[in-house]
Amino acid sequence: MRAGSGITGRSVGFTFDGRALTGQAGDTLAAALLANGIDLVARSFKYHRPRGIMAAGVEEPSALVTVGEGGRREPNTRATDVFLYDGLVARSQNAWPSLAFDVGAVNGLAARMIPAGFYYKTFFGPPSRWMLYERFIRRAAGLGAPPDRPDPDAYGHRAAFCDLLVVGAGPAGLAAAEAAARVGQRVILIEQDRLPGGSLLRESVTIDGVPGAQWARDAVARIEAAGGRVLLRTTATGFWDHGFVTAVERRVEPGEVPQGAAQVLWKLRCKQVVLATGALERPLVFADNDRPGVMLAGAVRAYVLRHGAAPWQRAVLATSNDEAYRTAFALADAGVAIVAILDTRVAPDGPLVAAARARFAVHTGARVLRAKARGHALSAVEAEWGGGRQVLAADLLAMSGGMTPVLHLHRQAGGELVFDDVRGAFLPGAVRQAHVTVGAAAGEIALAAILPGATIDSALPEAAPAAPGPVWTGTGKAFIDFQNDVTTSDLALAQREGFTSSEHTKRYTTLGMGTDQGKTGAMIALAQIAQERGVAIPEAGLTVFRPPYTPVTMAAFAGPMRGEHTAPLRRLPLHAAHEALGAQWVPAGYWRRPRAYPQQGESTGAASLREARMVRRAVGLVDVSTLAKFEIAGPDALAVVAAVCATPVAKLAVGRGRYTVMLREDGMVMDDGTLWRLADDRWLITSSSGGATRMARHIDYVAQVLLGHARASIVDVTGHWAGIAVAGPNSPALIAGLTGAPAPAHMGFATGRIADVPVRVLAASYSGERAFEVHVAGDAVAPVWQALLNAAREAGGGVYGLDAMDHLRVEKGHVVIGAEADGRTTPADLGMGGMLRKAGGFVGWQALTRPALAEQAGRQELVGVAVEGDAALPEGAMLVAREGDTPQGHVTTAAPRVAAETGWIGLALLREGTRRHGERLVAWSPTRGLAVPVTVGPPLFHDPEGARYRD
Amino acid sequence: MTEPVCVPAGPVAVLDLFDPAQDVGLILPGPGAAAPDPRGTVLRVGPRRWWLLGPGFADYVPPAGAGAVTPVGGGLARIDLTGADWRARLMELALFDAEAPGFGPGAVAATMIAHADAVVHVVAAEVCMVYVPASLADHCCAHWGHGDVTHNATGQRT
Repeated sequence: MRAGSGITGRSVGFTFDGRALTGQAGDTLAAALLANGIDLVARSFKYHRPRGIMAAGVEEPSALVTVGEGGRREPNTRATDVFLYDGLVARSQNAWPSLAFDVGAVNGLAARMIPAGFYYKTFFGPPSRWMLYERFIRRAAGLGAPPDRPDPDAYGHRAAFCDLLVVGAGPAGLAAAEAAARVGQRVILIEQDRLPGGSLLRESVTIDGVPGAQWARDAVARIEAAGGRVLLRTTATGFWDHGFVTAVERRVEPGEVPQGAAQVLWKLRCKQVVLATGALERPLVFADNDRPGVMLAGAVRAYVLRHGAAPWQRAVLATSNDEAYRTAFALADAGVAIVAILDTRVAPDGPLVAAARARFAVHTGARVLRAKARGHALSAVEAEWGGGRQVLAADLLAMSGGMTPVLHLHRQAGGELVFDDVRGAFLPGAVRQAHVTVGAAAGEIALAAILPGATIDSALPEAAPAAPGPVWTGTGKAFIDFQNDVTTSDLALAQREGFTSSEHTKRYTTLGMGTDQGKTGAMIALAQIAQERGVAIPEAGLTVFRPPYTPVTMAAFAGPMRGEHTAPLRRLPLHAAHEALGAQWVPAGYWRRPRAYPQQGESTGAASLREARMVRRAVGLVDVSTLAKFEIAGPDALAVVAAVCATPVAKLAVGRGRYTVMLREDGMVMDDGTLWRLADDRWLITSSSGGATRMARHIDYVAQVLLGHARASIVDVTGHWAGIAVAGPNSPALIAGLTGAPAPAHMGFATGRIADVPVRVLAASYSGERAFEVHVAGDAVAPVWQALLNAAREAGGGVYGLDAMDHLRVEKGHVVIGAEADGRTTPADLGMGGMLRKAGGFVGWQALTRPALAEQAGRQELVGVAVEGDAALPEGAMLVAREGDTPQGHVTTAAPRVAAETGWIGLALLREGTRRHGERLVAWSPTRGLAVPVTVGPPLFHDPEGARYRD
Repeated sequence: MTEPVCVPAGPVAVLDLFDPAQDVGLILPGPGAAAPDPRGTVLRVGPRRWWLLGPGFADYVPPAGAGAVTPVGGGLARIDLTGADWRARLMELALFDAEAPGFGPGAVAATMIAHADAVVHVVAAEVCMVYVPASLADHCCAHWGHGDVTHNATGQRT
């Protein structure tokens, strides 16, 4: 009939459990299965009960199937929310060996043994038992299996901004969107269905002279013509703070091969939001209400009017409100015999009921007791009315237990709920963001009220607001949460056992914890909980409406951030040059840096040691471009530098530098580096690579907040200046040879040219050798690097990587941020107390004057540890007197000796370590099964006099 | 179809002014705007920060005490997006409103794109220049190719 949608789709071939079937384009898989006479679609989660199709939208709890193949296989797809396409492959799930004969159904016989809370009552004991339990639980858990191959498709992200976002393209949403678009607002309208129209798609109604579905399509065209953006097949998944809404657009159906992105995650920033999210029908509760053939009345009407599917012979309508009456007319018009309408109301009235009485058998004060089956499918309905019981033969039971406005997004946005006794439902209350709820979601179902200016013609009178169905008090398995097989008995048990909070009930029974998040069952569960506890429904409490509204594939969240783009990847300006030299790369924050340059057959360790010894012997180059660099200039530059750096600064001459340390406000070392005076009012600070972003924020904070808008320009020049460190006894000659000027003295600064490119030369060392950092603009570094490399090779040297740099700095006792300066150490802990500015005035100074930090008693202090023998020192090992003793400290960095032929050394933090030089301890790593004897000493193993810094 | 073209940014200097009301010998554009200058182009990128684009500013020095100039161009790449859908391409990776009616030629935005600090300069109706750290240029360009936001499981463009 398809009066609702007007679909006249072409024929489409698909398979279900390997059986070739045909349907029509535009139909859902559920509609096509029904049209093909297939009523058994799935098996339930816990009891493996046969299940059919209950709903016609995203709320479907039972008809979950696996769609697609290979990497595109998508489990737990609602058959009601996937549209047919050529070649669609659908399979039932959670059944073995077949859907019709499922061994798992034996669980139903043991239902008394596995009630609510079964997990908590059974799987307890010592943690080791979980290793056993887990094996069985994992095997039993879940419905469909995830794909076993990577998803081959692309997924996108997209931002958009609007004056008005309308969620839902039913009549209320369309009206709101069109009104806003007409007055020039930037409008975005999103609709999770493939067609606009919402409830119009399941009604025989004309609006302004055209069928409802056509009116909806015309409205979309008008919105787009006015500049609005309409996104169909797009679901609003979350409503976050400040008008931020996320939505997922499906550009293809599950399992379908896309042209371009399969899905796009929209990030919508909205000035205002209209929620026209409609309402979901509730099931009635009675014994065996999950039989295939028991469906929601509105869904039945959708299959008849939208999809033209009416495969039933005899239908019983069971309802607590007017909704099912409309379905009776649609079914009868499609040729289905209406056996009876069973209305729980004692005296229903109104024009719709009156019209039905004239055509069908209507029984009032009637309720369904049990759905009876022949095989797995519905064969009869046992009901009672007028004081007697009746059994009605039927292959369809269309039920309606009231309507639940969809308020998930409203709640996520912080909106309040108000309980409406007439509807037995929550309606939207006060809001905290700029949003409003309209239409059925706000309890308004009268089309004339939603579209006040429109001419509406319907063969049927308007329905009265939907009243809720009664709470079930009978026997038998009466399901509340169909997806997780939660019954009325489970809810009652939870209340008896004290899990009365709705949040506790949820977790104890798994109510609402399926992929449908309890869309059909939440309100009927709440009604039962309230009755069990003897309280009103609002007092029974609600669980949290968490995003996402419907399941979102993980790939949509990831979007383009996959593979090597999972995180930002920063490349050195000399990336290609290092690659050509055979660099072995290591992640260093977002950067990739050369760890070592192994020669053929050489291990990383051997390469690093060779490179480090090359530096001690001759000269080496290491790329230090990632070091953070900040230029600070202006009249207040000195004040900024003096606040940031804890060492003396004011007397530093132009063209000179010094080692410095920066503290947090709590006195702990935040970073270290060098400070250079480039001009009277211009300074350069270098600090660690990993702390670059933190340091940028800190300097800005000091200047703008602590000093109150200092007249200083603070520019992060980390990227602008590439850096190449030249270290080793031959480095001064190398620098002099290339610049044509004497190399600056240790901690001196000079400018010059190398390979005709302007460079800065900073004489600083991190290796214990005479060394220089050559800074050059990043876009001009290549020729400078090549010149330095050629000169280094001629001087008996070459390149070295991060590991060699680490070996060298350990031998010289230089700390690194993160290892030794781990956020808990003061300068005094690291042996730097003496270099602090005595007058104070730097960030962290006040904290250092407090008693807890002014004295070193009990503090972890930096020491050196030397291994007794040739064993390797385990980094991170605890320092103990004997294995098993309380740790007194730990090894922060370990390295092989560079200057000596063999042996391992390390830096460590040891309680009151400076007083304990000469003490013997054990570096103990129980996780690696290592215990290495060490001797504690000063953190300096090479050139203690500093003679090698001098030419 | 918008295709990204990545080139070195060339000379770019940060101009910080301590008193933006003071005459510093430049026509300074207001917030979110660019202004042509005989020596190049001036972009407003912060409350008291401008970018001076082009080699013509190499010798520019603000009056004493008024501000400071610091070169940064060596660490920047410029990605040119040319085509009718450059706004969509930007908004695939950035949470800023490139589709705002006022964001037309001459507009400037300092924002984040694909984790990178970026400055967006709309040069013409269908031309947009995006300045990003050179170290992240490959990462950004890899996201902008053709058609959709299109990366598969290995991060390769499809």
